[in-house]
Parts: sequence; structure tokens; C-alpha cells
Amino acid sequence: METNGDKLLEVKGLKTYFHTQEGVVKAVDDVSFDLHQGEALAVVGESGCGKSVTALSILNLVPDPPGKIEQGEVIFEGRNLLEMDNKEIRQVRGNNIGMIFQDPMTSLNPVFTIGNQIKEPIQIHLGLNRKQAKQRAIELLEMVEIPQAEKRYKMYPHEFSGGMRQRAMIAMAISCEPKMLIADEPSTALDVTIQAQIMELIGRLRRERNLAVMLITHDLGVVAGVAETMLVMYAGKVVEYAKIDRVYYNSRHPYAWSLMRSVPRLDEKRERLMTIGGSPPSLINLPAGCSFAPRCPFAEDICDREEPPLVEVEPGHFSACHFAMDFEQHGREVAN
Amino acid sequence: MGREQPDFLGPEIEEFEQELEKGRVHGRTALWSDVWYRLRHNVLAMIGLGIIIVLLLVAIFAPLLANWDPLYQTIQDQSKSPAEKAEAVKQPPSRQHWLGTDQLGRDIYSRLVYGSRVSVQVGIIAVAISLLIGLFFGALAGYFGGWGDSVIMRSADVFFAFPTVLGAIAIMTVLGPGLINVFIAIGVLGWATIARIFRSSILSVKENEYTEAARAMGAGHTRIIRKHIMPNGIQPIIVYATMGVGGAILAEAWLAFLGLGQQLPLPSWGNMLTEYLDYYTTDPWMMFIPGTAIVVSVLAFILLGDGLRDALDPRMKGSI
Repeated sequence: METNGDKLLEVKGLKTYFHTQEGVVKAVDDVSFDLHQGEALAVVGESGCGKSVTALSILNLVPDPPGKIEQGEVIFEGRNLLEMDNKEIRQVRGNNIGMIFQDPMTSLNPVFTIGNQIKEPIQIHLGLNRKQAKQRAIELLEMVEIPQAEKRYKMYPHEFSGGMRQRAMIAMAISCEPKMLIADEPSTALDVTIQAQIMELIGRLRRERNLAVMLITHDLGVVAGVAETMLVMYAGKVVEYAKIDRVYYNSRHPYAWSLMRSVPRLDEKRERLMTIGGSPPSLINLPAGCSFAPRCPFAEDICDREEPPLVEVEPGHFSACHFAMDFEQHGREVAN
Repeated sequence: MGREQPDFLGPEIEEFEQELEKGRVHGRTALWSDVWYRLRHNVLAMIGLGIIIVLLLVAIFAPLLANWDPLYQTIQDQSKSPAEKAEAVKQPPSRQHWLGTDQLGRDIYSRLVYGSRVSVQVGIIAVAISLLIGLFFGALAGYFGGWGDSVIMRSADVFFAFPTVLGAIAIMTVLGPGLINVFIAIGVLGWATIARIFRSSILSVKENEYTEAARAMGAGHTRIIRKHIMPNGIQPIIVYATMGVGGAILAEAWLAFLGLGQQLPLPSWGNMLTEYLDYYTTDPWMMFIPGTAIVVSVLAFILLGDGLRDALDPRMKGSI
């Protein structure tokens, strides 16, 4: 995998379950991936496939109860975040890993001014005095391209538009010069032009600061321009993990393959978009075998019986399909 | 997407600048100075606050304001002749007795002034006791949840199941009549409502994304409670407590009515009202004096509480 730095984050065999009255929800089931300094990883999948829970698990923010990280390791700069005590992990949160949430409308505290809130992580982690913190907060607002930062600093969240609130959230997330940024669907709640601006902003900050970015999204259009690697999740599991162009042009998993074909593209003439029939399975009663099998156009008997392992089909390209090795050939056979 | 100036500037910044020019926007950095700024523009709340300040001043400076000894009874004054004594009771307001005299020839104005001390004390101390107990248990139940939550809330339910009057009588019976026991009775009975309001408001604030965002920024329990839960969760409490002061003043009145509050001959608005009620057929104006004092003070706290509710919510800003 192309990298321009050391391995920053390593997630190994992460399992996060939710213990509910109906049963155990396996929200994240054996997920592993790496993130290098300056790399952007896109985590893609349908709603409820475990993307956000994966992100929360990294910072050990899963609400407990009912959630519990059952197994796995999250190694960040050589230290396992899941084994840290409360005090240690708080040093990591916001300081080494910043996080942006989906809905900028509710992610800011309505009773404090924007400036006051941007100052918060600065004061927690950097130990600057009030004046320095204010100076830094205004710089940050300028950095995220909020005009008239000094005036905006004194305004309340409800006086900001959605796009500007998300910019303010980003300013907060990068305020302590973190090495990694987790963006949980940062553009979903915004309209399309603002989405593009926000993604561009994240891209720019990443280049300028050599930030590692974990971008969670279900919007494949957003992913292409920003990320280098892509992790496709389905029903709490990793189904395909590779460099992004490999997933786009040489997908080895029917789910990822179908996803790529269900997005309209400007550079290709296509009569009809593909759809994936059915809906994701309940995470409580997962079918035996491959969890995508009921919806898979290429499923065979073996798919209902055995769970496919995640195999490396080419260097750095992983897929969890029984037919990953001869994906195209199998597809043609089925088509005929 | 170009790097040119984004066009999402929106009308709000213009509005903001206009307000800035008009001098309506100040150093808008601290929550409480903004609340005060908004409160100041609420006429009714300011009237309420004005009355409350007057009430406090009267209570503090009662000895200076009263021109008679509130306990002085003309009918027991040996130096007065029987005719003078008969003349001295239930006088209408005059230059000597600004609000007249009562059935024992005491100066009603002076009794009213001294009685304000009882009302103010009951209001402040009883509510403070309720807040102390209620906030502590409410915060515990709301923020940490679990079995502690169940125990605390079920105990609160017991208090709710009890009629307040009956509860107060029960407590007063055990402790005996007297002003300090009034504080305790009203204060203790009030905790359950405050705990319940605070708990539910914490529950809703706790689930907000900004609390989660703060956790993701590395904020600890203390900071989250202080900065995110308290300011957002305390608002209904501030409003309730302000109005609760009025409620406590009222509660003192009905405890006095039952003979359980401030003991005669020391004056309180409650026992004055009770005493003068006996003469409502012959001299109804007497009972209206403490009655009006009670109504006006309670109303003042309600007006202020109402104004605070609006002022504490930044989103209400435009509507004032």
C-alpha cells in the first residue's frame, strides 16, 4: 500500500457487540485495518453496517452499557488505546486524534459561543492561557476559511449556517494538531455544494498537516477524490479492503462491485444503474455463511454454508468472497 | 470548487454588524453576561426583579423602615386610658399609622415590614435546602444512571405520593412549630421535584451530540458536567427555583394559617393574614394588606422566573 510515513494506527480483530434485550448485536465483528501517517482511508457501507461504531471503538467512546468492546486491539503509535485508563485515553482524544461528527447542527453546545467551544480542547490539552487560546481559536477559524473570524468567534452556533458549523467543528478537531482525524459522515447533513467545500477543506488540511484521515461515509462520490484506501464494510465485517482505484476498477467482492455500479458517473455512459436487492440482515441473527449471500447475484451453495475468509487477492488487496480469486470468471459463468 | 470567498455569508453577519453599530451587542463571550443582557430587555422580568430587590431591601433594613415597634400593643399600654385604647384599635391608615392599626392596636405597617423578613428567609433558605438535596441526587441519577438512579427516583416518588400539606404537617408535628422547622419542612419536601426536573434535563442533554463531541475532544466527567450538562440542564432549575421562592412564601402563609409557622406575637405575613381573617366581615381592609404583600411578592418571582426562562435560551433572542 502506498504510504508516505509510518504506521500510525493499527486495528486488529476489533469486535464491538451491543447487548440488547433482543440479543447480542454484533455491530463490529472482527475488523482489522491499518492507517499510515498522511493516509486517507474511506470506510464505506450502508447504514448500520458498523462504520460509526468502528470509529467510536477506536477512541473507546462506545456507550457502555449496552455496548462493549469484546476483543481486539487498537494500536496507536505503539500503544493499545483499549487498554488505557480513562485519564490516558482522554489525553489521546482531541489531542492526538480529532473527531468530526455527522450533524453539525447538534454537535455544538447551543449556550456557548463558537469561540468558547473551540477554545475548549486547546485549554484541555495545550495548557495555553485565555488570551493565547483565543488567539489560537481565531487562527483556527481562519484556517477553516471562516470569514471575519474575529466577529464569528463571538457568535453562537445558531447564528451559523450548517456548513460553517461543520467548519467550526473541524477547527475544534484540528485545534491540538492531532495526527489523525476521524470524520464520521462529515458532509451527510449538508447540501451538495457545501459538501464539496467541506471535503475540499478536509483534503487541504490533510495535505498541509500530513494528517491521517479516517473518512466514514456512505457516499461513494465523496470518497473518490479524497481517499487512497477504501474499507468496505457489510454487516459489521470487512468485505473488501484495498487501494481505492483497485476497488473502483478491479473489485473482488460482489457487494463492493455492485456498489460501484450503483453510482452514476460523468465519465461513462451507462443506461441503467445497478441496484442491490433486499436490505442488510439483522445483526442479531446473522445467516450462517456469507452474510451478503441472500442479496448476492453470484451466490452459490457454498456461500450459504461457509463464511468466506478475508484473503489477499493481490498485494494489499483483501476480499472476503469465496470467489475472490476468479471473480470475473465466476461472474461471467453466472451471467451465462 | 474555487478558493474564492464563499457565498454562504448569509444575512446574519450583516444583522450582527447592524446590532454592533447600535451598541446592542457587547462582548458576547460569557454566557451569564449574555443572559443578563437579554433579561434586561424584558420589561415584565425587570418589574419582577425590581419588586424582589425592594423586598430584599425592606427585609434587610426593617428596623430602619418601621416607625413603630411591631410588638407594641396599645391595648396593653398601662399609660393609656380605656377610651384611648378603644380608639387605638383597627384604625384606618393615618399619618401616624401608615397602614392603620390592628385589633390589638399594633401598627400594621411595622408588622408588615418585619414580616417581610420571614418571607424572604423562608423563600431563600427553603429553596436552598431543596436545591442542595435535589441537585445532588438529580445529577447522580441523571448522569450516572444505573441502580442509583432507580433508588433515588423511587424515593422521590414516595415524596410525590405524599400530599405536600400533609407532609409538612407531619414534619412540623415531629419537629414542633417554629420558623426554622418551616425552612426544613418546605425545603425537604421540595427536593423531589427539583431532582426529577434536573434528572430529566440531564438525560436529554447527556444524549446530545455535543456531549459526545466533548468526550471525543478528551473532556472528563467534571468538565462535561460543568460545561455541557450544567449550563444546558440547569436552565429549567433556575426557572423552577425562582418560582419556587414564591411558592415557599406561599407555603409559609398556609403553614402559618395552620398555626405551624412563625409563632405569635412575632409577625409574619402568613400569621398576619390568619389573624386578620377573623375580622373580614367588619374590617376586610386589614387582611388585604398582608394578602397583597404575599401576592405581589409571589408574582414578582414568577415574572422573574418567566423572564429567566426566555433569557437563558439564546435561540429566543430575537423574540424579546
